[in-house]
Amino acid sequence: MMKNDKNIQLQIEEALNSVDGIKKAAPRPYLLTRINARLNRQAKTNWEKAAAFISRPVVMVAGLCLVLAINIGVVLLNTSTSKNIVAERSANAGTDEDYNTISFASIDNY
Amino acid sequence: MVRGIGKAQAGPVVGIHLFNYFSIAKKWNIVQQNEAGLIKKLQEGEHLAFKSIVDLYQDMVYNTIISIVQNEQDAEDITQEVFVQVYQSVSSFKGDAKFSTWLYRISITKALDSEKRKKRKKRFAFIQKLFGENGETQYHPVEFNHPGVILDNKEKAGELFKALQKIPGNQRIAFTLSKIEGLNNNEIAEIMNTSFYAVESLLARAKTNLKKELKNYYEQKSVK
Repeated sequence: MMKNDKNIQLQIEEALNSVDGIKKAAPRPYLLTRINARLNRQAKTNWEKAAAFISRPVVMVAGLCLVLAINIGVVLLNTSTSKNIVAERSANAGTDEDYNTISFASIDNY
Repeated sequence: MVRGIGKAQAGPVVGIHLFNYFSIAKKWNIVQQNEAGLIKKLQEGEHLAFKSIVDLYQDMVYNTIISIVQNEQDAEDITQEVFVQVYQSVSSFKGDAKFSTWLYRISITKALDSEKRKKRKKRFAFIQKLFGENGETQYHPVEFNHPGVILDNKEKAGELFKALQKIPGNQRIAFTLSKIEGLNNNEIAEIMNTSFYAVESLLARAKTNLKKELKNYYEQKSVK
């Protein structure tokens, strides 16, 4: 048991010291070429940037919600104004008739 | 006679030491001047300066990243991302810290971001495994071998890197910068934006936690 503990301690020390004198890892050759290619890929035109922004799911969903909200708003506004017009017409209907009868009466008087 | 020889030898030895000291100081000064010049040129948009920066720092960036992400392909991708960011945001570099410190910070941030993405992918793979059709895992972590470790130490270093993944992020960064990058505590403190004593404490805790993890690993191994 004691021997096993010692052995484990030794292994731990060996593992901790295993990176002593480690050499620097280097990337594969032609890294600059690959970086340049990536830079060129990222250099988008303003139209491409706008298209990329619009095609983002969040923007698309927000845009759809906005269009729907505008449509619902317009529909609600139209129904309320059309109701008002109908109500106004029906209210005006009586006065128009009176006006007409008055006008006819005034004509008859001539 | 002896004293004479001593005197005669002391002259050139001191001279050589002084010469070495001045030549090293001069070289360091040239490197710093060149670096400042390169950064200024890069900020002005000169592409040749970018090439020199990549040549100068690619090993440093790659070595730091590979020690954190422990995957060669990922490390190379992130190295490219780091230099792309350097090219795009070098104008924001004010020169308050050393350029290498700035580069280390970008590299570490990108490497840790990649780690987070990888962990998210791992969780997603686990969920896929639970609800997937085949019931097979799609995420297979591979055993990592740092290319700079000598052949005799490969196995032990592999175990150490495995244990490194299990300790908290800032302890792992401090340990990596100290043991693998060979930086001193002052440099690590500057990179991690903390104090010298905080780095000392981080390194001590990292070592304690690593010992714990390694102990668990070897105990399980000895039982098997």
